[in-house]
Amino acid sequence: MSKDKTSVVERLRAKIQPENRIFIQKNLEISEQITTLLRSKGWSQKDLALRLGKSESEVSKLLSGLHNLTLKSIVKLEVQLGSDIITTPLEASKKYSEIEFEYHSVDC
Amino acid sequence: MNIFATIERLSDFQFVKVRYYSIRFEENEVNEFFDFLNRMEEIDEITDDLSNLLVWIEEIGEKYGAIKNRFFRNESITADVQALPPGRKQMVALELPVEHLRLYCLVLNEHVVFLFNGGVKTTFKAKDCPNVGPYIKQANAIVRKIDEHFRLGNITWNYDQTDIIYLKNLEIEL
Repeated sequence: MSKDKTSVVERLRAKIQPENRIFIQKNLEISEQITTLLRSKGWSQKDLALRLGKSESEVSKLLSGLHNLTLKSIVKLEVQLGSDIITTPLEASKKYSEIEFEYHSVDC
Repeated sequence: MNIFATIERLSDFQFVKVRYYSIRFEENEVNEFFDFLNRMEEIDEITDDLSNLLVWIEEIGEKYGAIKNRFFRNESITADVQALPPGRKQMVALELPVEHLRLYCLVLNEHVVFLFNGGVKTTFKAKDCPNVGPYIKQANAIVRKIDEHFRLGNITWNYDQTDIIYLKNLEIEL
């Protein structure tokens, strides 16, 4: 295949494995979740860094969506933020089955 | 001798939330981002990192937007940026790190990003690395020129600041 400027993107996109896509998607979802929790607590990345005993640039790396987060580092974040960051579908179905809903009729 | 470059809209990288651009030097056949991709494609050890980077660029472009303080970092780069007069907001080249792979870019706002060049970092400080050091300097030089063209009105924002408008055949002199 000739290496012209248009085909390099096609060649590289063809090499992307499903696990690359899922890795980045989940990574960004986790980053989004952490950012939402920080916002709800009124914390900055610096506040989180202080609580984790890490530098601000290390926290920034964790939130970049490109870092290979370990389960251990996710759990440390969950402890500091006092909330789940990831939940398995099994755990989620258990939690939501315990929620009692009230139904009201609405006149249209 | 000065060299000239033009702005290239990356047609394969236009997404709902981010429009990506690069620049092409007049003597080169491809823009800086494609030059980066062409060179990195040759290194088998980083195929996975390069794939991750491409997916990340797409995902940010489609779903999140280019949020500067969250997704990009300026570590090791700003030292090379020339001091600007006080009170003047400065544009800086930022870094996208994937393991040892580095890509330098300019985030104009959440919707417009210039992707430049980069490489595999081999030293602790990126600016000392023979692979990426020259691209940091290059990125900063381009950023300063883009900043100048913004101030001259040769590059402007569209009505809702989701894209840029620039003079046809605008030449950036470096």
